[in-house]
Amino acid sequence: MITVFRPETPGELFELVKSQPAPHYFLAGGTDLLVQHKDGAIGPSTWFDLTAISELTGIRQEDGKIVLGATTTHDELVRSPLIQRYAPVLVQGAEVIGGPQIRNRGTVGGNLANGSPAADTAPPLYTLEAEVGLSNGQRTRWLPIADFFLHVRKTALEPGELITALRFPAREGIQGGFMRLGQRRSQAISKVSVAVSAVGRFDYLAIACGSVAPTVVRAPQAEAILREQGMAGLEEACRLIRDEVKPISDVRSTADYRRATTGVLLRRVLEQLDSGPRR
Amino acid sequence: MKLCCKVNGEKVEREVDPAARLLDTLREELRLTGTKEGCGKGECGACTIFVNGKPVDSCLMLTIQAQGAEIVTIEGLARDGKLDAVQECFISEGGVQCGFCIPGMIMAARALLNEHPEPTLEQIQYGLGGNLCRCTGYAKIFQAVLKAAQLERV
Ligand SMILES: Cc1cc2nc3c(=O)[nH]c(=O)nc-3n(C[C@H](O)[C@H](O)[C@H](O)COP(=O)(O)OP(=O)(O)OC[C@H]3O[C@@H](n4cnc5c(N)ncnc54)[C@H](O)[C@@H]3O)c2cc1C
Ligand code: FES
Ligand code: FES
Repeated sequence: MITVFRPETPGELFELVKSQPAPHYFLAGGTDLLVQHKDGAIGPSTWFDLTAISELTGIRQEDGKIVLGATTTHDELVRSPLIQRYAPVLVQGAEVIGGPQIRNRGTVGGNLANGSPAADTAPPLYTLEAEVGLSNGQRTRWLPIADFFLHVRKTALEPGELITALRFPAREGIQGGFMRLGQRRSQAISKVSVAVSAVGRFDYLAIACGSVAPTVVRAPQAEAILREQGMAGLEEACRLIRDEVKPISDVRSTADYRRATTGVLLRRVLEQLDSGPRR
Repeated sequence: MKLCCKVNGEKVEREVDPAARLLDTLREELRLTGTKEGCGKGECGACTIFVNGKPVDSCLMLTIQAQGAEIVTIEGLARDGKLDAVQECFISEGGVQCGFCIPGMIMAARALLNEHPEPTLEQIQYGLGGNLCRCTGYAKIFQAVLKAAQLERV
């Protein structure tokens, strides 16, 4: 038995969380939760739909930062002029998620809340040095995204705590690239992914890889060589990054394949970035 | 709960189970059985409908989330007894075999053409990336969508 509520303000939401019987689930796009429910993984519980709470949605620029609400959908990210300008890497991450139907419902908050190292918005957000906004109704806090993800399916979310927003600096002239390998183009989970954000060559540079460790990982050695040598450091960076990732073998791929293709993807992303804006 | 929304242009007000999937409410309560359930997990797109103009999988939405929404199902595409151009072209190009995927496929194709009236083959493939067909091999489906785009341009 599922009991579901549709609060319209955060205040109403946290009141319900206090008064309704556990276990509790937040429901955003439902593209993970309803699949788990269909699989029989979720027993009798109380669900709180977040999609009528206007405070949790929308993308804005504020004090030099881009702030986006947790229930922003992947489709809204792709279409947002602010995201296109200040987070091109996130546009590329969001536009390969699922198919159109999934992108129209799936949200960035739901993507992160699972703690999956294969979540395709996560590596882009690492390269933007994003912070995750959390609230339990009493206390609000902002965590660097690297402190939000603790391990596979483990996040810093405490019981009853909600992701309210994401924010990152609005860096002028930022370029970005994201590529992933999966079983097929649509509706597939990443085997390996690489995200890069850069300003100039390279006043700012961040590289992050998905699906190659228990959490998304940055590649500090590859970043250092590129910062020092510019694009001349490409070969060395692609060699170094293979040893910076710590992949496992699982149903989707092997550790060796993941290590090798991380280097290949980094090369492709940087070459694409270097050949100018994508659109 | 009392669901108040618009379905295929008509106002709906009805007592329903808020925790039922929107797919089940459409099929069982409103008897709109054109919308199909293939996988129930967002993989196949057979359950595609429009919610506020956007294609979504109705198997991944709860009924409560449709409160106040404008919904269009495959039953709502034809106007005054005249099929939509996409429907016409799926027939004329032989884009249909068993037919099970077709309502969802047509809704996704309609959404794609609303956004890209002159789509490339690649745009069609991307736009139909959320829909599976076990029969046709897709070639004739893509052809049908291209044809519909041509028809609508003249
Ligand atoms: C066919 C298919 C293809 C997919 N393809 C991809 C893909 O290519 N890449 C990818 O990364 N993912 C993919 N996904 C997974 C999923 O669509 C995404 O992770 C999506 O972003 C989840 O968001 P949601 O809003 O639908 O989450 P929901 O299902 O609503 O919620 C997921 C979990 O997060 C919790 N939650 C939701 N919002 C919050 C919040 N604000 N605060 C705290 N907890 C919250 C929920 O309680 C639940 O446990 C796919 C899923 C399907 C079904
Ligand atoms: S039944 Fe909804 S996507 Fe397959
Ligand atoms: S026509 Fe049979 S599944 Fe598409």
